[in-house]
Amino acid sequence: MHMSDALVSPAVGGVMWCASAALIAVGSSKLRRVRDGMAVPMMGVLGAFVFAAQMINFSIPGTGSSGHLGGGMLLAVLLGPWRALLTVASVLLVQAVFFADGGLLALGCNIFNMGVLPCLVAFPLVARPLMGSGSSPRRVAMAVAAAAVVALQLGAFAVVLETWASGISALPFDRFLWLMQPIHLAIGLVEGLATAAIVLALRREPMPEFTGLRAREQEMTAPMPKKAVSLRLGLLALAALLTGGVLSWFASSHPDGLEWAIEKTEASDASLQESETPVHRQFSAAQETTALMPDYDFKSGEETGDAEGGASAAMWPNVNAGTSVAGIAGGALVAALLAGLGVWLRPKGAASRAAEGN
Amino acid sequence: MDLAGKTCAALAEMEYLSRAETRVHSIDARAKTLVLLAYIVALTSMNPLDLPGTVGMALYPVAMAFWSGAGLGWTFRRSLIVLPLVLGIGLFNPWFDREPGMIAGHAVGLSNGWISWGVIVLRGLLAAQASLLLLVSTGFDRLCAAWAAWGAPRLFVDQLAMLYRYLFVLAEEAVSLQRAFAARSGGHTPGIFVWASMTGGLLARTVRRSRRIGNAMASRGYAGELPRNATARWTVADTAFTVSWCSVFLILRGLQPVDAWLNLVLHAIS
Repeated sequence: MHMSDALVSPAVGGVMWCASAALIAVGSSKLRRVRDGMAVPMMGVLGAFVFAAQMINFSIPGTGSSGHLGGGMLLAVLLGPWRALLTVASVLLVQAVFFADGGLLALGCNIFNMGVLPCLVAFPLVARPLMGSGSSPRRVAMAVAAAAVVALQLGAFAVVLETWASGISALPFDRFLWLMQPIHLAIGLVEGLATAAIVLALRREPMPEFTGLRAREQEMTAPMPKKAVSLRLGLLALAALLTGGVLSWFASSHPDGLEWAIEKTEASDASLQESETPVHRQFSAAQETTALMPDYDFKSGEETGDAEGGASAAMWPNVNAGTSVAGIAGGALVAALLAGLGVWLRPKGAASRAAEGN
Repeated sequence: MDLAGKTCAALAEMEYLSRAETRVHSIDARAKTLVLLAYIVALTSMNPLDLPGTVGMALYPVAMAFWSGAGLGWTFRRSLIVLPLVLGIGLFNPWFDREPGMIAGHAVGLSNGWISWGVIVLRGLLAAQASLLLLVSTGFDRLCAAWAAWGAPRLFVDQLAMLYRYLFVLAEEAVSLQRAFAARSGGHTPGIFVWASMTGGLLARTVRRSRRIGNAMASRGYAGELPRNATARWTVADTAFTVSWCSVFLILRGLQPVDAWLNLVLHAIS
């Protein structure tokens, strides 16, 4: 499921890099607070184990094909979510630089699809609730297998979204989705079985180092120091400013994947105009009035001529103050909305603890 | 040779190449990482129908393959790993995009779909070659040191270095396991339960090994962070390397000289 640099646009690759790097920084900070001297050797050697285990294939009955271990879910079970995320990210980094398996630009996408989704989403939300206290081996195996299937489905969906948002493959979104999800359902079942089989095999030997099966982990509840939070927020804000303000000049002037797919497979502009209803027109007029920066640029009194437009589209990078302001303003608006949502959704206990702390 | 054996051989080969002492090897790892990132951004932001421009971007991997001593043949062979994915996804482009295409302003009898398919395949190969050449012209330890100097989390870099150190040991164990099974089964691939037993055994040995390593590290004064050598000094040569290559990418990407040259040639022929 490794994405390749050839299928990712710089904008999508950059955004996924920022997301994955931020989560790795958060994980590292949490784990540093735990102060476990065995963590680094355990994570490093288990990362090497996943790499080595992937070299050993097993046969899939009735298909004539073979499969291998993915590793993300197994590492989450053995190490816990944050340590597993760092270890999977290391394995993917080594695969990218040593074997060109997934590229450096696509590394952020790959870490997110194969590290973040299994370790921070499928494991805590699917595996942990299903495995209960962890005393029944059969229940643990079923929970791990189910979580592996969910992780693969989420990962495949993320691959489709990232490829579609990049707009490089001509494959329309829905058809790509229909190709990816069923085949990854089968792969997920196989990987789920493989992971469950190893977890069952391991239960014969007690290994106190493995923290992933515990109900609540120290690392999950360890708070981040305020200074580290401020520094990371500052760095993320700087990255967002750079992406919105400068990298937006490098955006492609070609239609995005959805526009392309509509253009090629669904309907021509004429048929779209024919299907316009008064409701469409009213919403369109309202959007024109309310849009502060239509097409990610300043509003202009008159439309520019075709020749000028053509020239600016061909120019690369398209250095434009309007695009920069639109990128920065959009980023700030999204940050404000998410911060508001975070404050609104914050549990009451956390709010009162914060008030007590102040 | 089986997959595991080939992987081990490839690892050893890359480690050997990365220890060469060429001029490119002496350039700071941070400079080479910056240049690689600039290259990948320039390459992946090319117009998906600009086949000559994408061919022009081969200049960087070709030059690095020569200068680092890796050679063009080795670099090309190692980059072929990306082909199944890019061929598979890219093959849908000729199916969906059948408009007649043009190369350097001239009709060539190919559809846009075939041209964009060629660009995707070429892009995949070139990006893979550039990444491989960063490794073989630098070495993994120096890359880790460079990333740590840039502020990558210490815990992440430390366990990355640890992973690399034990990769060779565990890869060899995997090879031994697979060969032992093949010798006893007449070359068959194990079923899932035999595989789980083999891999579970490898995991149990891995954990016992990590306990021994952890204890050995603790007895030598390890307190959560590996000691690190001082970061190499950034020199004028590093600046020159970075600025020169970034200028080349800007020219290749922005001014598209290969397109202009090919346009002239095709015009003269016709």
